[in-house]
Amino acid sequence: MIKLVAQGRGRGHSGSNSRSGTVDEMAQDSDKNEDARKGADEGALLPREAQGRIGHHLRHVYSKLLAEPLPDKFSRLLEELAKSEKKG
Amino acid sequence: MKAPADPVSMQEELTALLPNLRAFARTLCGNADQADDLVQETLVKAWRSRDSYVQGTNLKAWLFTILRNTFLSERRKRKYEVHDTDGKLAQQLSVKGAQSGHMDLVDFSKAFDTLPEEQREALVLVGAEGFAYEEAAAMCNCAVGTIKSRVNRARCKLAELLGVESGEDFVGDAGPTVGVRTSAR
Repeated sequence: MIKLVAQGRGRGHSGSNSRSGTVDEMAQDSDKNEDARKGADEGALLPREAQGRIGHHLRHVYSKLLAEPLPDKFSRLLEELAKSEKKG
Repeated sequence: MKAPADPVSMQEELTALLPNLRAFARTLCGNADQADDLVQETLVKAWRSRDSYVQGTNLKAWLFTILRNTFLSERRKRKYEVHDTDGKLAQQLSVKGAQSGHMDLVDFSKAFDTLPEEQREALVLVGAEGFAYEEAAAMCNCAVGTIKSRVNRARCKLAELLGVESGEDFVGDAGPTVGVRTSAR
């Protein structure tokens, strides 16, 4: 959007056209950075993409923990608890 | 208002949530055996106090709260070791990250282990277990803003340690990850 406006404004001033475009592009880039900051939580400076990568790896590592085989001791314990319930 | 929890369905639901309880316990105490002890204690406490669980509310959140409180009170009695957050590890990682510009899952786990306990906890609750900030705040007995800030600091620290900020690609099997992630939910 900004770029299009810049090109329109630059018509007739062919000499300054590319330069004004560059400045606007820089402004656009800083807008993107601003968006990234707003997108992060509470004063975060971490870009959304980096957040996504961290999250992706976290879930991968965590899913491996979730997928670990469960020892029988837990189901045995629950079985005992349920039995004691019936008796009591 | 509160229907007494049916023992059979309670047993089934607790069984279904065992992997999550175990994974969360591992997040809190680094030692696997201690984590299992913590899960067992949690199961006993949950069973005994199951009448205080309000049917229809989030059972996982209720169980995680019990597990967390158990961990904190046991640690006060020094039963559980304090998680090792040795600065040396962090240093090695940041050197490696800076040199290679990428990381693997082992690096990620090591970096994660260097985070302060409350940041690990917040990041796992929100980022891995998918709890809302509000839910995590209620579970950790703190303000929503505190949870947000902890999650954020954890992410920033991990990004710093692993060189993610630079935008360099990191070595991860992105394909399988998606599959595992889906099945874990």
